[in-house]
Amino acid sequence: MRIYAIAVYLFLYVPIGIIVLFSFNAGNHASELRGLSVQWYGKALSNPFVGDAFITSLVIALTVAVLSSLMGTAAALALQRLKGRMRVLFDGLIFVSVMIPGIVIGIATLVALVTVFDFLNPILASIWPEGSQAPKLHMGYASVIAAHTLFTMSLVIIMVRARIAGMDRALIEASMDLYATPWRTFYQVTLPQIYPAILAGFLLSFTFSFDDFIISFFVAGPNTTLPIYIFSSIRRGITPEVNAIGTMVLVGSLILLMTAQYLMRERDKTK
Amino acid sequence: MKEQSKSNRWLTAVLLTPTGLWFAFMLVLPLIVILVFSFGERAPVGGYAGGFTLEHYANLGARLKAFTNTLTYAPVGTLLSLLVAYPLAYYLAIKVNRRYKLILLVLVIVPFWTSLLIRTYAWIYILGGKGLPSILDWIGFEGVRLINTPGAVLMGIVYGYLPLMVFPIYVSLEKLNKSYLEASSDLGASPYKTFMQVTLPLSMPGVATGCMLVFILLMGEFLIPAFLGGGKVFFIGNALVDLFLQSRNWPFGSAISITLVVIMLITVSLYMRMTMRNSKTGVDESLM
Amino acid sequence: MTAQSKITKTYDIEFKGVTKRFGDVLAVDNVSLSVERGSFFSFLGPSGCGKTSSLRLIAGFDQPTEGDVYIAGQSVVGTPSHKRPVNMVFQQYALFPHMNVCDNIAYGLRQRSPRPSKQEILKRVDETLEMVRLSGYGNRRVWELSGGQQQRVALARALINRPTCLLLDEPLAALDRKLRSEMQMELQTLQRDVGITFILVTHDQEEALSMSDRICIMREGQIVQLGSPRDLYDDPKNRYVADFVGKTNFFDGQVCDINGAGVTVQLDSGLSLLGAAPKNVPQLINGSKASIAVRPEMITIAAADQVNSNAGVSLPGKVINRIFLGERSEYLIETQGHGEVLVLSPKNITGSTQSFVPGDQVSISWQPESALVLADT
Ligand SMILES: Nc1ncnc2c1ncn2[C@@H]1O[C@H](COP(=O)(O)OP(=O)(O)OP(=O)(O)O)[C@@H](O)[C@H]1O
Ligand SMILES: [Mg+2]
Repeated sequence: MRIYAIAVYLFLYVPIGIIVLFSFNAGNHASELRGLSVQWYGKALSNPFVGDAFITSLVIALTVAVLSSLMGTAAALALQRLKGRMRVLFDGLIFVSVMIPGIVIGIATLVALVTVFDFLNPILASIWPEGSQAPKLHMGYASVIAAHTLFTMSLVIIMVRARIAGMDRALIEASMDLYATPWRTFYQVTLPQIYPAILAGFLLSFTFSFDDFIISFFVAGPNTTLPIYIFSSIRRGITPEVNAIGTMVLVGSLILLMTAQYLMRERDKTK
Repeated sequence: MKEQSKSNRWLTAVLLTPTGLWFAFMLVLPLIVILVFSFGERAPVGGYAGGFTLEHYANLGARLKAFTNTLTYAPVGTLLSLLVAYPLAYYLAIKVNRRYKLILLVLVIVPFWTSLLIRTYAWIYILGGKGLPSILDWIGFEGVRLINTPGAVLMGIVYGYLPLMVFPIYVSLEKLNKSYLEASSDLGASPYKTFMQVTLPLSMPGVATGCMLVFILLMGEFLIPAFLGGGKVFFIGNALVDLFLQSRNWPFGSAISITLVVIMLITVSLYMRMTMRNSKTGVDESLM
Repeated sequence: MTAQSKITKTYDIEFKGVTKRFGDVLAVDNVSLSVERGSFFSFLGPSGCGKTSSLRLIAGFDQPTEGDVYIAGQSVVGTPSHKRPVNMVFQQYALFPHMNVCDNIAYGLRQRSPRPSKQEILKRVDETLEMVRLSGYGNRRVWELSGGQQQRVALARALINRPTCLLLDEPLAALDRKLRSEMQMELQTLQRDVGITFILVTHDQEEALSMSDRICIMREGQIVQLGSPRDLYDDPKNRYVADFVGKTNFFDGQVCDINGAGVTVQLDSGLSLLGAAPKNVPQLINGSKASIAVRPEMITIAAADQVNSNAGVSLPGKVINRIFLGERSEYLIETQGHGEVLVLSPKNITGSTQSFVPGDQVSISWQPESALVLADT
């Protein structure tokens, strides 16, 4: 059993180790190790495309995470009190939105938005006052964020709902019994109880969005996210620069994960 | 009383509006658009031109290979991941010393938190000419091809989705009260029987959840076959990228997308109904 | 009862024709009652009889389908629970898991507007902790406490608000026997000290009998009998109440004669026995089904050959079991044709120091006036 576990961990980590190792390659070819150096880190960091892609991904992922945790939590709370046909409708939509493959979401969003924009742009141009440049609707940040949020929002709804379902109803009654108004009960009792689920949903949404390639590939328009950049450099032919980026992303997410863990533990301690 | 329930209804409506709008504009509308497109004509320069034809649906056979590939690799890949993941989850939940539990668990999850793109890319190295094959060469097995084979794709699948499978199974096994196991062995069941009659049935919700998650993701998979399958093993996802971005045959691509969605709806609903009946708990929402 | 005391009596809680339906289920059925200020009142009844439902109507978690609930003379129908001056101790305590003991206890005070000052809150929390004997536990997490400690925190969290009335939903059910009896004592003392009305829900008759000033016995959403523990014990209204409150031997039969001396019941075995009719209950009629009820402590036991000449009723029997209870002994006697009879016998009655062992032939007897004739429902 133990040996099996060790084998699985090796299976999980050897590829990651190789990426890290080759990121220190002194040679120009990704597939041959010729001495160690950090030159590729320098190259990656000074490459303006990498920086831009990183910022784009970060902005998109943060927005997606914030939007989905806010809207998802709100919806989960509302659905709790909703009954009848509306409830069935929303349940169905949530089910469909998590079940549809990302690639279909990407394609359908692309096709729909292009169609809508093709329809709206001439109208905008015609009603815009003479002389000034009419705004042109196009793919970009907004479309990526909207498409990502569809999936991650449903994820948050499911997670928060499960948490609410597992919550002891008597706690809310106890709070009301102790003179707290419904609002105060919400932020003093309900919110602290569902907070871990919201936090988990936030983190999951962030990673999903930051890592997503396929949806962004279709709807990002002229913008390049980090996964799109990595994908195209792999396609162009591999240089250790990709390894350096990958290693930095890996280390970055590890640091984030550990900070989050540490902060939560500190919070538990002080309370 | 009346007043209160009225303001309550208002609150519910306000809380649900953004989500409702999102579903309407980002889910329902796009699906309707591709449904309409799937019955349209291909414009001469690519893209879409109006019209009504069933030609694209009749022509699905042209991409039959993508469908059969996806529909075999997705279940097989799911099953393989399950086979690899279950013992590990069992080990983590039941066998391992409390002290190392958390760190070992985090080690399973960390890869999941790093880009699938980069992780899959690593395997291009390992399976590529200068990786494992060259080592095999050196040992004496010459000319072994690893990359761009069905095996490479399946391995990429197991590698990519292992954490997603381990985690729900771990959670359901962890919830399983140790005293059940003790009770079972106290009642004279052998370890094997205990596993078959107690552990396995009680971990079914986690298994069902994990399988469903992996299966759903595999049905739309693009990266793994693109990187590790070369042109040989391709999924519906690869066909779609090709149709929309290279040959720009939007109506045909839409027809394929709609077909994929219908297949997913049917299989996933059937699957959920089945697991729901078999184990009363069914797919465990709290794990998702 | 003098006329004057009647006038000065005030009621903290009153039900007037209260009915609560959940769909088809009638959880509370046309209940009217009043709970005197400063008293210890209990709802007693089997599972599902509507005790919790009644309490929730007072707390305001549910609203009655029909009827009125009054708190301190004011109708509170429609008032949400956070505006009612009552507090509840929940069955599973419902302590907030994300707060420590102090924050849990201070919760109610912090909802007040204007909010009391920090020092004031701290002072009150300390006082209350002391009252429930948990001084120094303020910074503990609630799940680090034992069952009994959690129970006291729940009590403190409610008491600190000095409610008009404290509602307790089987607060002791989760505790072990010893702790439970300790807590019963503490609760009683506490109630006397703070002078707040306590309403307790329980299905444990000993608990209700030992703690309450008044007990309301319920069945299927209705009040069967309401009175002091003494009343219920000595004058149960029917067989249901007698069976629920204390241990009783029943001899089933039919009423065959009612006169000044009492009521005669013809038992199913053919024997006719005389018993007293319960006070204020006129529902016995000739020919109706009834039972003779005799409390175990009213029965004396003697060796078969020493039949007491002035005993009213006596039956022969055989000892089949004996439980030694320290100051008393409990005998189970098999009688001929009247089933098993439970007898509670003090250790030393002058003149009969002997005790019996299983297998002994004995004679049991009681005075007709200590036997009650009870209708079946
Ligand atoms: N929310 C509800 N919905 C439907 N039926 C309910 C609800 N609450 C209580 N009931 C029903 O009302 C009846 C009385 O329930 P209640 O909880 O008052 O019983 P109880 O006397 O407190 O029992 P226990 O001693 O088991 O706690 C039961 O038949 C119960 O099934
Ligand atoms: Mg109850």
